[in-house]
Amino acid sequence: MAWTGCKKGVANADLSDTLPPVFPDYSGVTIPVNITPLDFQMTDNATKMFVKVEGARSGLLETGNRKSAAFKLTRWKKILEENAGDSLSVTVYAKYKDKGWIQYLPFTLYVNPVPVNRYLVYRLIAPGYEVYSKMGIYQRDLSSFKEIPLLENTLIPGNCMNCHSFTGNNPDNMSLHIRGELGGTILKQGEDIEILNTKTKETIGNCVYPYWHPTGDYVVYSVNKTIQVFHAIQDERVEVIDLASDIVVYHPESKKVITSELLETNDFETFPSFSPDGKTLYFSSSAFQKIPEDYKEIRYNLCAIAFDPETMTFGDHVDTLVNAAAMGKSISYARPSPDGKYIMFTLSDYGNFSIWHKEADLWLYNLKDGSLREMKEVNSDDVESYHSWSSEGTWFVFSSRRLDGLYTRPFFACINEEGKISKPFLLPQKRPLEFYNMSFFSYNVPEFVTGLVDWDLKKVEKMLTGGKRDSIEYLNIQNN
Amino acid sequence: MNKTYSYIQKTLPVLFGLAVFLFFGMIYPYHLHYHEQFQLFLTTPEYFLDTISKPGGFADYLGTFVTQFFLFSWLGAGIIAILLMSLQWLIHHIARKIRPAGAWFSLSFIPPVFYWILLCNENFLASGIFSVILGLIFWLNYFYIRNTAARMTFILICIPILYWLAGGAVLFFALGCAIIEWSKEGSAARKITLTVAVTVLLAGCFLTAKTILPQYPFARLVIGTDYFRFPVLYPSGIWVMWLLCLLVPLSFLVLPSNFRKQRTEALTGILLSLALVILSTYMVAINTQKNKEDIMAYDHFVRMQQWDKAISRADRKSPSSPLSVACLNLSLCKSGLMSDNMFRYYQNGPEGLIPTFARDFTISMITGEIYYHLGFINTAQRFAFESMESLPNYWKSARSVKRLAETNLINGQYKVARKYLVILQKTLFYKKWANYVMSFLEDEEAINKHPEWGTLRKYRTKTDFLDSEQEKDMMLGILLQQNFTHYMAYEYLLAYCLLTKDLDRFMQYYPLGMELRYRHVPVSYQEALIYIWSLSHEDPVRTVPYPVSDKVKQELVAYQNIYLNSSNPEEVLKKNHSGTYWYYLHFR
Repeated sequence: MAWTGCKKGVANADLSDTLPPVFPDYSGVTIPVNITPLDFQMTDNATKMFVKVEGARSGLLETGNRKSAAFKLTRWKKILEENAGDSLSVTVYAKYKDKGWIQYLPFTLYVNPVPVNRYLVYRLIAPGYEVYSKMGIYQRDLSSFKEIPLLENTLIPGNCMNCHSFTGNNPDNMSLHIRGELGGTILKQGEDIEILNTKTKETIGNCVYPYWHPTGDYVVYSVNKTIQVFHAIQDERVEVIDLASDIVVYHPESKKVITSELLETNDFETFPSFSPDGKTLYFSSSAFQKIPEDYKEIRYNLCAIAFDPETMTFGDHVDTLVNAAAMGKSISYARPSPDGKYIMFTLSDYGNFSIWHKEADLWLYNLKDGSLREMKEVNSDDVESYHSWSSEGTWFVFSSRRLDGLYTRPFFACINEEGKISKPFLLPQKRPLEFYNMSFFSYNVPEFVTGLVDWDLKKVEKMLTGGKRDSIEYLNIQNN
Repeated sequence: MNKTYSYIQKTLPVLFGLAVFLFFGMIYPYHLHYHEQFQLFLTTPEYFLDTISKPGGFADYLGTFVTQFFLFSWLGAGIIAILLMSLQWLIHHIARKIRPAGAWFSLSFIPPVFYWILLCNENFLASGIFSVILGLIFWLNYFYIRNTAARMTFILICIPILYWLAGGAVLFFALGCAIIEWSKEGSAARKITLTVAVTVLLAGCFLTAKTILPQYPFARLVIGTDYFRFPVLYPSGIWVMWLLCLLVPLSFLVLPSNFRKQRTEALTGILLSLALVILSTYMVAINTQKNKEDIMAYDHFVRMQQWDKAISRADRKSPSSPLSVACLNLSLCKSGLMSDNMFRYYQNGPEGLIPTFARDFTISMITGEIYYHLGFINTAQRFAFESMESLPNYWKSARSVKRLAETNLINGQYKVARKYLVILQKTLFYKKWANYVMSFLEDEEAINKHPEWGTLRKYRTKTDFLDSEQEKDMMLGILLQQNFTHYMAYEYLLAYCLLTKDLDRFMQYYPLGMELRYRHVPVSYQEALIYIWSLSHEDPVRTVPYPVSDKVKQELVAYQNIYLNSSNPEEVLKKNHSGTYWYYLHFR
């Protein structure tokens, strides 16, 4: 083996009283039992490295070379399974030209026996402004390093795609928007695919920001009139502002969008989601403000309205669950946990497009007792924004710009029965330092799915380039 | 005669290469720089593997590899000359293998001349030449195989290999080989089998590529290599090029090879060469886009901060396109000459000062330079990003990445600046610069002392506002109010008012320049001031309260006389007064 020579050197290594300077920081993180190997690299000028992973119960892994600690998948899986519910101790030895071999303090990886959903679907796009280059929707196997493109704009050059959404982590049902010349909303239900023109004469725009009803019978969207403006000051970049926004629920079977007067007000309503039982619709709502003059006064509260899927009707009032405006804050991306215990959301100073807000952090609203808590365990000095739950309700993924302040990366963490949250870890990659340094892409809208999204791409290509888009009808429930 | 023709045959390829070299070195150097800035060739294995992961990718890799040398125009010109000469050499040798026919030698120049013409369009890329050359190399090697079975095997093995290396160039290789086989003696069954096998194999290659790479449109996979910057467009030039690579050598099958008299052969050759030289010169001349070269030249001078070269160029011929004028104005301002001299050159309104944003890689790149030097660091960063993201072939831009690193450094966003620098460290020609800038990261004092970045830190805004394309004067005003010694903001603000003919605002902003302590009031301001005064006062020359020089006063009198008394003042004033603000005000 390549590292057998290292063993002689590490036996006489000098002991360091610090943790090893490695990227990513995996010390003390909790990982799911089915996660792919956590390869890592030295960030300093070490010329060689040697890594020993010892299971608290059993197992020993050794690896190392000049560039990175890369673990064999089968051995990694075995040691994780053997130590599920316990921990692994990782000892790093590094060789330096001037100092010889150094043995750093070991760090611990906690292995949660609850597996995370196997696939993560995200959009890769450069964190730009108005123009977009290559982008795509990709699905990453979290049990390996395999990334499969679902749709790339090499197939439909010049078009943009965004907002992929699934029915409760089920890859069979998906909503996906295409913007540009071939624009439309792709709705996949099982093997059936249709492309919709979701703009009706009664609504202010196309349907965006989707969230599926747990039954798969509805998709709630917001309809937004959005503008982008650009800051001149050094620490700010972009502001995405809604001039108007409402919420509609699409019923694929009848091809109708329904809404309520309570969701179509002069105020701004956006980022809707359904409760796990499908009987409540959560959304962010802000009082109307003049744009762009008062864009810093837009503050969204977390609101809820009853929804009856049997009768396709809404409740007669809107509840404000969290009055963020009163706190001088704003809420976006309310995402209820699959067990119905929590709503995770992003809290920023104002507005709703929190990815451009350095102060944006994740918070948790306890639906049982109405308490609120900041998720300090996962927040950083930089942006934390989009997030979603794995179907078992233990794991969640969130977007963060903590690595360099601009490029969004997915981080994973778990929450236990008592509400204790683990230290998050970065999406593993082979040779992660080079990978993330050299990548021009941000990871947008990370969403878990339990299986691979399977669709007939040739059919999708044909439908997209064919130009046919199915229209939908508008129905205001309260007016009928 | 025979000697003359023999001499021509020997010297024509060299002369052709020399002509290409001189053309790109002297007439089209800025096209080469233009190509270089809109790509980012990385010396990493990942870049290589990523580029060759699609049909024609190897040619793309070679094309982007050589394009990085276009940073030095004469080197780029030499590379193109060698490539086009190689193309001619290959065509000539393939033709000779088909049938030696000296009289038709100069036909081998048709494909390289055609590619030269294609390269006059800034969107045709170097990768395409490699694709064609690879196809021809494979075809030439085919002729060296005597054994029929080995030749058949060679064709069938080469089709998938060549397709992956050079993309659609496989078409003329496969067709060329098949046609040559048909021209040889042998059983029809063998020829039919070969033709069917070639057809099936080609179709198989294309369909397999679509299966392996379903995220590409079929047509793009057939062409493979990035011949053209816009991958959604499949210009006919590509197909014509392939056709020429096929038909020119094959024409030797039918063209007479034996002439009764050697003299006739030589005469035919000379006349054909002469005709082709004349036709080629004409075709290259009419396809040369001097206006685009002009914009690219100004852009290059601005990029390299060669302000004096931009001004010298304008002194020879005043630019007229908004982008060139914007570059000239920036050069004038950076040289401290704008407010005195800008109206000596053609001005085409505010678009020639700060062009409006467009989803276009060229406009964004140039406009971003202006914002950068004015101290609108965020805007410069945005334009650099947008320029790169606008590249239709989804490539990255070394120039943009460099500017992103700089603007993030100035803004103190060191982590992301480091990211861009790490990327540039993987290049051949930006590595040194990236290493140099790395030493500035987190070193506030060093950045503040840096002549460019330190100054821009002083110029940039201290309070936030939102960019507005419609209110550029407001943006400039905010910058100026925060730092009254920011002469560029002042001069751009006043130039903006003059160019938009908003004289009320000019008068409002003019006093803001008091702290700049000009040795004299700039000429264009004097002209505006006395003109404005003359609108409400009689005998402005005597009563004007502003420091207007006698020369300007005399010129105003002369101008007024002609303007008021001439039946065609625009034409008459053009001769001696077109360099005044008054002329711009009245006639532009």
